[in-house]
Amino acid sequence: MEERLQKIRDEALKAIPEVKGREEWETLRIKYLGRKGILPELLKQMGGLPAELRPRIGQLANAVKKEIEAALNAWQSIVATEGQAAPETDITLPGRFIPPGKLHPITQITGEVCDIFERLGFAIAEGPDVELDYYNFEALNIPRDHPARDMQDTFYISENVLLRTHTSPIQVRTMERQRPPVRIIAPGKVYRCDSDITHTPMFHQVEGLMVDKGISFADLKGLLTIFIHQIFDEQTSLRFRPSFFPFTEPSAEIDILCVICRGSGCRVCSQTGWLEVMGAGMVDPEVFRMVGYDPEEITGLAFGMGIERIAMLKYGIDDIRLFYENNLRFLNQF
Amino acid sequence: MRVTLNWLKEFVDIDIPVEDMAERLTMVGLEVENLTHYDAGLGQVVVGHITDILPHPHAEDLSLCRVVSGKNTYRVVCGAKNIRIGDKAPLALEGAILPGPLRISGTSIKGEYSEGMLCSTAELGLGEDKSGVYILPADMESGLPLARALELEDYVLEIGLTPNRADCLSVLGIAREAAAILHKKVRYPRINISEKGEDIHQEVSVEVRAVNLCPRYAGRIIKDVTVAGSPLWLHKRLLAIGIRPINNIVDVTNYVLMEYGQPLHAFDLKRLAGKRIIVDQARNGETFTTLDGMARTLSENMLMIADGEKNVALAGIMGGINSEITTETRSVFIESAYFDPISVRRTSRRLNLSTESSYRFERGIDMEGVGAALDRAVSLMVRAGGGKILRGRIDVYSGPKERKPIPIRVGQVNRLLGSDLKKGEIRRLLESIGIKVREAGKDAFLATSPSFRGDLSREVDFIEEVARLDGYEKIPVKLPIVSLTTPARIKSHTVANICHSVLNSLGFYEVINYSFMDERATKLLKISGMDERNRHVHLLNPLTEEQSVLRTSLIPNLLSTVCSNLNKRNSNLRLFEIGKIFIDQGEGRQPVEKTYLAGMCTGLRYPEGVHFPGNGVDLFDIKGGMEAVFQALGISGYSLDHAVESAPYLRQEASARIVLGPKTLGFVGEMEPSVCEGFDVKEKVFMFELSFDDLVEAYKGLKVFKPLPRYPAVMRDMAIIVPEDVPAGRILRMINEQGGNIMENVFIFDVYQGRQIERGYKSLALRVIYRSSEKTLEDEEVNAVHQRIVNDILSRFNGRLREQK
Repeated sequence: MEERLQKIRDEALKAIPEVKGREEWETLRIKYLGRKGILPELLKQMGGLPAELRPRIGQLANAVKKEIEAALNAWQSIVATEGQAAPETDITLPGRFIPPGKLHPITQITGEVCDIFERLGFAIAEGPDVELDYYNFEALNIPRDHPARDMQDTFYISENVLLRTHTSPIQVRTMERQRPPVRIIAPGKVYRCDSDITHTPMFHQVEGLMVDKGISFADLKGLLTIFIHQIFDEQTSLRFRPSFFPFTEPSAEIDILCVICRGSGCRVCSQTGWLEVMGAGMVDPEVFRMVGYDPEEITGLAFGMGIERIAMLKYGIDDIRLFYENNLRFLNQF
Repeated sequence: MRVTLNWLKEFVDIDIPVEDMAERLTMVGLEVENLTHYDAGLGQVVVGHITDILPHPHAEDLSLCRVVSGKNTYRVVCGAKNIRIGDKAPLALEGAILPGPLRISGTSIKGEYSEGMLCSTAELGLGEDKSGVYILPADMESGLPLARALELEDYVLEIGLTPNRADCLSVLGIAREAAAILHKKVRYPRINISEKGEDIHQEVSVEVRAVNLCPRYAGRIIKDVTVAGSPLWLHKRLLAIGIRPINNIVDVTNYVLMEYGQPLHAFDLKRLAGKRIIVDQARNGETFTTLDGMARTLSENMLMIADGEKNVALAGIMGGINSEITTETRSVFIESAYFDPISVRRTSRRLNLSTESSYRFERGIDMEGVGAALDRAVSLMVRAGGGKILRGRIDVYSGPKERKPIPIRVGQVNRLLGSDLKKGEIRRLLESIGIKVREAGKDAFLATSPSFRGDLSREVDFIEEVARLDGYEKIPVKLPIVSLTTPARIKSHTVANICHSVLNSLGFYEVINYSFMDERATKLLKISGMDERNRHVHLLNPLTEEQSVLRTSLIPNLLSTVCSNLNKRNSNLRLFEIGKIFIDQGEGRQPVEKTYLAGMCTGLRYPEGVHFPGNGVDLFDIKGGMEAVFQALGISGYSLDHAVESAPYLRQEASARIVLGPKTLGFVGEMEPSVCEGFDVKEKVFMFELSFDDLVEAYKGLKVFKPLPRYPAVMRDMAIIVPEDVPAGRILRMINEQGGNIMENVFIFDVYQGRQIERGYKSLALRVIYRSSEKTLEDEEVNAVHQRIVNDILSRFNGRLREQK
């Protein structure tokens, strides 16, 4: 009896790893463990054994049975992980959920920009989209009949009312309301009458202003370096290039090394290796005078950027008009 | 502004590669937007040496030439008569594209193969002469590219100038900057004038009547000039910077305009009636035909140049056709003046006529440079067209104004820049661009700007010059040291963030539409005349009719967005927008700006796939989205009613007004199909719109903890049959009111109308949950309350219990 059990065990353990396919496995299982299988049949014969042998043989028979079962299970789990055996639940079917919607990429980037400056202690400020000429131009040192007005094609509502061409009027409105120190970040829609692959008649800007004692151009460089590194990445090289805005002096344009060609020159950067991303400068004393600040007392830095531009560079979008087509296939990419 | 490298090199020694020069200019604020190699469009045109000329076997007027160019020999068929054996001539080879444009390729001419073309100056775009082949100097090296042989090769720098740098609207201006960068001196042109013949004052008199608009007016006369095409040296410079050559006189005025930045105008002296020039304002309604052939109506504030009888030029903008230089012209009066920037700008805008000349006057030219540019021009005209310069120069000018020296404090320079510049460095930088600097105490200067830098009038202007000339890259990078403050958070941003996350999580995508809309949009929404949404803010200069007014509702643009998505086969849409609308408050006033939140959905309720049924969205999907917003904001106590007259774009029977206290918060419902059709939408569309401003006001952001329940809840269901026009909401409200403090919650779990219910009635199944915060409720207690509620409902709404089966 003992020998027969050993022999059954050896045979089975040899045969099981050779099994090819589920049917063969089932046949083998029935052969050894089935109701009329070899082991149960053998156990039925236990009754004929001497009583003193029964416990030992019984134990042995159980051990063999367990070993064979284990081998059969092991085979099954190997095969299952190989994806051959069909599990009872098809876990590969998709999970059930309603896909969440997404925020417009402009909202996302505006949020990122504001977050960075809010962490630096800037407060968010807002202003009207439809502005007075005074706030959009004159208080920003852009008098009537000044060629600097050509820099921005303006939508007019009447002689003195217009759609703001930049978020800079918010600077003036804030300074009129509040004594220094000032630290604001002002997002908003702006408008210029221009429409092509790089211009839409409405777009978004974020404006920043910091006024305090002893603010310098060196501070402006530091602040915007931090910002560029956060909004793009730490590896992004940037440069400050002299420029002109009527409401800052000195004025600068901030270029980043072209994200496409990394500076070697390509179509996106018009072969210059650099991409203009922001305008900035030290607040012009004239602007301070208009709001009743004393430029001998305090100084200030200001900066502004187009959100579409940042988004286009970050995501590699080549046509600004896509932002306002609101095609779901565009919106769900961000 | 375009300049060429060779032109700059006339005035300053540039000993660095052109790419580096471009970079350095950019970094002092003259942004080089484009740097291009220029070969006058003469690629594949070479110097050919004609070594043989044979008659063409099949055409008498053609000849067959052998042309050697470098190591190669070509057969060329030629029709010109002026060629001789041994001549050098321009040979255009296969692939050359001549102006015209004419593409050269090998071809058979009357049976003889020609491998190229011998060209005239006109064919090369280098002059007017079409009479024969352009015979080149005999010592020119055969095989050289023609552009190199004629020294046409150059680099063109296209510089984007900021409006403050009027001084750089000239080659000399840019040369001055280049010299400062390279620590070199500018070589100004040497002007040699030999005056001959009569005094100019005998030939013309100038009277400036509008002195304030024309503080300086100078002129000279050249007689016996020959008006013709320009010589190559003049011609090539203009071509390289994109100016079309016209004739030697006009070309010189353009040349000096570019070189000095001083606009000039040449009049045919013979055509100036009464030998007079009068500078005065126009009379209203006069017409004047400018050089471009356009008749223009003048108004009285426009500054004009007139002769004894008539207007002859729009001062500083464009001359008139009645005094223009022609090939018959023998005597020329050349005008060099300073016209008031604002006056020129207004006239130019008024007439919608902007020229190189007006562009410079608007930005302010160098008052002190008027005479030098005039003299430069006449000296070049004589060189290009012969003739003699009459004695004397007209110059109506009160003389230079003294420029005020501006104090510059070294401490202020470093305070503003955050730098540590020494006094000597600051001085050197200022002097490098022609600023006169005088010591004024230990840590200060007095600085006087040169006449061409009208933009430097304050200390800060000079500080900027110091910063840019030293280089922004040399300014240290620091961080501000300031006191901490607590920036206030704008409540509307908090509310917007909550709306964003709720709506996103329900599958709504945010869109951003233009603030403009079509004026007809509100009509399409059937909004009546009195409604404030018909108080449109009109743009004076809209780009298109579709964007002619500011939106007074978010709905039209949202519906258009739905339409454009449906057209692109994006058929399952859940969209929302938070944006401003604008209500006109009358002429000259800012409109009222209100912010709204609107949502729209159409198509399938669930994503297509194995798990979901394919039902379309209905009213309750959009209403659910709206309710989720209210819930997330903690706004309760709003109610719905049917007063939807002010939302005529909704289906009356499937829409509601949302009321909170005395305010209409907005509307929810199904869009009226005929309205959708107006926007080319055929699908069912559901929407809500809410006053975002009111949501912000209602949002309290308060969160109060209530102890968790300690005693079990008891549930009671009721199934009632009520007339179908009884709103479920009223029953719920009644239960809420009557349940007392032991009623915790109630909801409807089934609504049924159909076979088992008689017509005109509906069955509602409700579950009420009772709980006490003080004890375990006894059945009797709950039953009493529940029974009372059921009875009240049945009697109030004329209902009955539905028998249980």
